[in-house]
Amino acid sequence: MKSPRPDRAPVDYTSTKPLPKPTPKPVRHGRYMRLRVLFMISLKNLAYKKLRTLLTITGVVIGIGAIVFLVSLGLGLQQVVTERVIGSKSVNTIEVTSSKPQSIRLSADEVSRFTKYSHVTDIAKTYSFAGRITYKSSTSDAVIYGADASYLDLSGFRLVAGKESTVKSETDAIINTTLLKTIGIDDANKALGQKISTLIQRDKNQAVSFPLDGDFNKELTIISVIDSGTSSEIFTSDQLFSHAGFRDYSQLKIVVNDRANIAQVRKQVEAQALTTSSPSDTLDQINQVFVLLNFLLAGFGGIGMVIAVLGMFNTLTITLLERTKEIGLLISLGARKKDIRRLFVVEAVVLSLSGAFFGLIMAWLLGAGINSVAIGLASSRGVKDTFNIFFLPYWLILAVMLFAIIVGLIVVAFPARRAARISPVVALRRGD
Amino acid sequence: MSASQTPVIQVKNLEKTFVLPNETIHAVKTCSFEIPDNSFTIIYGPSGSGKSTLLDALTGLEPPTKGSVIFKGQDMYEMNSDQRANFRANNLGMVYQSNYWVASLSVVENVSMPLYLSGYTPHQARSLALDSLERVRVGHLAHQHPSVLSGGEQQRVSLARALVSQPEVIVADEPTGNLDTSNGDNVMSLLSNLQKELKKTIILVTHNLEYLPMSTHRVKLKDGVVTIEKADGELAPEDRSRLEAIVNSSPAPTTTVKLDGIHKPNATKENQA
Repeated sequence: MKSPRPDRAPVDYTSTKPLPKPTPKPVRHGRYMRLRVLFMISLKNLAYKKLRTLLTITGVVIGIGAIVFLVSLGLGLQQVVTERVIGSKSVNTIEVTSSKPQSIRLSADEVSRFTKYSHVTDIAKTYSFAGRITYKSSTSDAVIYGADASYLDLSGFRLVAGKESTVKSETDAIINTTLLKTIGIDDANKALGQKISTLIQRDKNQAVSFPLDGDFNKELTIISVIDSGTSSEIFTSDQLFSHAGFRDYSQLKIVVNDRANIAQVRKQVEAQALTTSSPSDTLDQINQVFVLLNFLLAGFGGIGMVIAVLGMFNTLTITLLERTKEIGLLISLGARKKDIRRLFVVEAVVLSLSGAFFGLIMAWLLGAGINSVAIGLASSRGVKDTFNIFFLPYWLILAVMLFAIIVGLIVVAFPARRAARISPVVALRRGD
Repeated sequence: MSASQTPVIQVKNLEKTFVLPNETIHAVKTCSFEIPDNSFTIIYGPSGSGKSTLLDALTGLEPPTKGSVIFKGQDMYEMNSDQRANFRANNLGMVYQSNYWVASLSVVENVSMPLYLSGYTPHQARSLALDSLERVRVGHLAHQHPSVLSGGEQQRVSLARALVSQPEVIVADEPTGNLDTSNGDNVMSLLSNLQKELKKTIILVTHNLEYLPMSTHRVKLKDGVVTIEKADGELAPEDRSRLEAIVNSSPAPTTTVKLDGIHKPNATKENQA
């Protein structure tokens, strides 16, 4: 307790000194309690019952913390899975193939027609053939691609050896690690500069229109090794085939300016009786699964929140009962029902928002801690990539704050209404 | 001191009835009276006579069953409850028998409360509250918590709170009920000063007949029946010296009060025994 201010003389109630004249009061009719005052009183009330306030806020911290921790785990896992499945592939693409290559063709005419569609920014093209490659004495089946630079770029292959994953010359080739193993080279760097010959047999590629009378043969130099599918693949320039007279592409990748426009462009392409697919389909499926998972995780966290809400309700109701006389006094001094309600509402929102704030911090710290432990464990088992299994986006922070405010308002609704209904006459009744 | 005859409060045909499941209680039977401006009006009567009910109706806290309360020309019960609350904050200062505080707030913040309620900032309210505390000579207690103060100090602080919004009317409901004689006299002396120096209208509710001679007007209540009395007549010598002791007991009147304006109440002589 503070001692009397030292600058004041001891009081002499019997002094005959004249009373000071009253300071003229600024008139403030029709004005009501300011938000600043409401906050000040609420904070002082909360500080007055420190232990109770602390316990109540701790409840909210645990509730909110559990929700945020679990949801950010769900979101983090979603990111990790998406990255593994989609990789760095561009999501804004539509892959176009023909189900009947002999009759429905993917020729340069189609490419120029698609270019004119609105929202289309680029079209990547590739030929693909069932072929055979020979390296030194070993021979093996492989898919032979003639891809343009955009196609290779959009495919987002991971480079294992070599300088870049694009083919600049008609004699260059990029092979994948599966093919590397098939032809018996252990070290990817040793494959660079090696000659490899390709063979595309006319009778094995009846599906596409084959412009040559005989087989297609070409010796290529390996310039890079990439990580692509599980089948043996070799990539060379598209021009190698276009110069040889091949007219029909096997696959196109149409790049659209925004993910939202994919559906519209797809519709136009499919109207040409072509088959389309998009990484955004996969992404949608992943998202669907994770939305469910995130709701489930939030639900688990919600159990803690329910207990926290009950704690808050309990605190506010006890506060109401304890302060019946105080509220009666305030009403008799001129408080409106609205002022009394606001006093409770501000107190509840302060409780829930500070709980949310510290809950977010707790969840973030816990997530970061567990993540670094997980990275440590993974790297001790040979995983070199870093990853984040916890993801706390800004929208989640804002959503949690909003959620806390709404929870506070719901919890306080009943005590605040009861408080505003207190009759000052009953609350301040003396033994008369 | 003769009170001006302009009424600050007019009570017209007021009646308050409580209907309980088994019985109907006529707490205040039909009455009409006026409380003049700058008067020292004492509402008195034995316990259970309906004093509190009448006071609640006068201060706008409890609507009467019938009749009206007109405060400076405005019918209090024609206002809505928000308007009435605002009206109370600006025009009435309340002092109670028990001291009620917002426990978490300091003395100066508690005294500021009526100002907070009518929209003052903490800063504006604070200087007016300190001024008001100084007026009843408890400025040194401003930063204490009310709960650590003595009964007398608390009652003075609550008087400071009643004064802070500079209302015209101070309503004191048994303000000396929980105090010893000296502290009680003190508070009464303060009230008397407020009436004389700051020209406030004081409405005091008491069952303590000792203070009756200080009044200029009286409202007597017995079993819900209101009798209006005007204070006049001479004081018996022993009453006169007791009153002088009360009025001059403290706290710091500007001048020693002479008892010219205080009359012996003839009408209540039998009650004073």
